[in-house]
Amino acid sequence: MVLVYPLVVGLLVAPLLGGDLRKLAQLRLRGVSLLYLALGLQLVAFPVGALPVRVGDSTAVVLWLLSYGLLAVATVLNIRRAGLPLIAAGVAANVAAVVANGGHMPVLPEAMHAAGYAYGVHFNSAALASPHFAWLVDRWAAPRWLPGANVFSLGDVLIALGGLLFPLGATGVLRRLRLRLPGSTRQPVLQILEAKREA
Amino acid sequence: MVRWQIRYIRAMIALGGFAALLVDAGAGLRWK
Repeated sequence: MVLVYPLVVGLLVAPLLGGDLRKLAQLRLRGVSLLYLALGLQLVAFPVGALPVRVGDSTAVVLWLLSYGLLAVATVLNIRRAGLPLIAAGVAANVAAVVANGGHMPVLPEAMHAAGYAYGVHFNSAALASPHFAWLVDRWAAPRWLPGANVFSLGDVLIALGGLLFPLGATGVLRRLRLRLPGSTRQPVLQILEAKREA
Repeated sequence: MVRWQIRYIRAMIALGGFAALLVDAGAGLRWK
């Protein structure tokens, strides 16, 4: 759940950076139903206490990978939105780590202990000292003061950055910043150069 | 329901979907 924090932070700081929250009313995403369906699959795969559903470990892995497939489709459908390319890269990095290590997200034991945990397999997380794609696994512990946080991967960092950029894009902050950057004058300059060449 | 209400509800559904994407895209709903 902690990966929602960047979205909340982005929504809070957007007005301070000149963004307009009213623009969210025009927000349209493609394949939104796929995102909710993916959430549903993960709820079945890793049920919270109140749910009457219990599935085996291998079924949970299949459901989890299926949910990632749905996320991949929805992400590609919206790839032009701010932050989505970073999220796509983060998802790809996490899936690569999961698939290369037998269907669980490996966590380095030192990161797990630093986060205050000790287990072999816990839901979709498995402690592995020498995993494949070691740079893509959960290798850092989140600070203890962050509610609900535990360990995170490089893919999670990319997803968090994407989660922060998305509201900044949707509220017009990024457009405002781009207008102020010197690069934004590049297009008129090119047009002048082309006009001169034609003359 | 008036048009602006429908527009806001649709936008909130999209935002909620994006939040679901962030939660799911990490290493899973139950763990992160």
